[in-house]
Amino acid sequence: MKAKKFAIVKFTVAAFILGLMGFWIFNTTKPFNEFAYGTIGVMLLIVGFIIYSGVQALKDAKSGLNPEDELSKKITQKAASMAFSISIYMWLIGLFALDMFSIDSVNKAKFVIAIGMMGMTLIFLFIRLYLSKVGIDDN
Amino acid sequence: MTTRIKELRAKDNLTQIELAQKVGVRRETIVFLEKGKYNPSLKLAYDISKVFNMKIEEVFIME
Repeated sequence: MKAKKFAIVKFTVAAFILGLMGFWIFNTTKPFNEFAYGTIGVMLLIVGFIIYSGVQALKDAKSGLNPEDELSKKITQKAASMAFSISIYMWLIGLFALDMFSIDSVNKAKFVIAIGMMGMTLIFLFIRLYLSKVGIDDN
Repeated sequence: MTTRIKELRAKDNLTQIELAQKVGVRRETIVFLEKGKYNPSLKLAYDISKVFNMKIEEVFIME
């Protein structure tokens, strides 16, 4: 039952992101540039990951297994802490790189923040996937 | 740390999924335990040992 709720929450989040993305795509008046296509790609990747983990949780629950066991919790925690550490360096390098350009408008500032947030999400997803393949060697 | 989970599971004719169901984890956790790529919590080690009716130190061997 808990696993079903867990999967439903994941599917709801994925539907919410897709809904917001659809709203943005159909309501924007500006033509799409490379950044917009990149954003759509990253969002689809995130939604794909959420749906995949929701399906896995349902499969586990169907087989009578606990989808949120101690190893998966540890993997999520370790991925989050590693992603946070790497993100600090990413922002630091980004700030140095930004020194070369002038941020003279709100849109440019939004662009930088959006890239940073997507970068952080991607770093977390890749580390999470990597750790779930190789496990945690916590000796 | 090494474990005797694989050997004991084979002896008791248990599959990885069956053992995972008994101790409330995912199959992947059993896979990582058998490969020695994950050190379980004391509770999980206790639960696994209980399935095989053995002491923790008989299932999980510290090197």
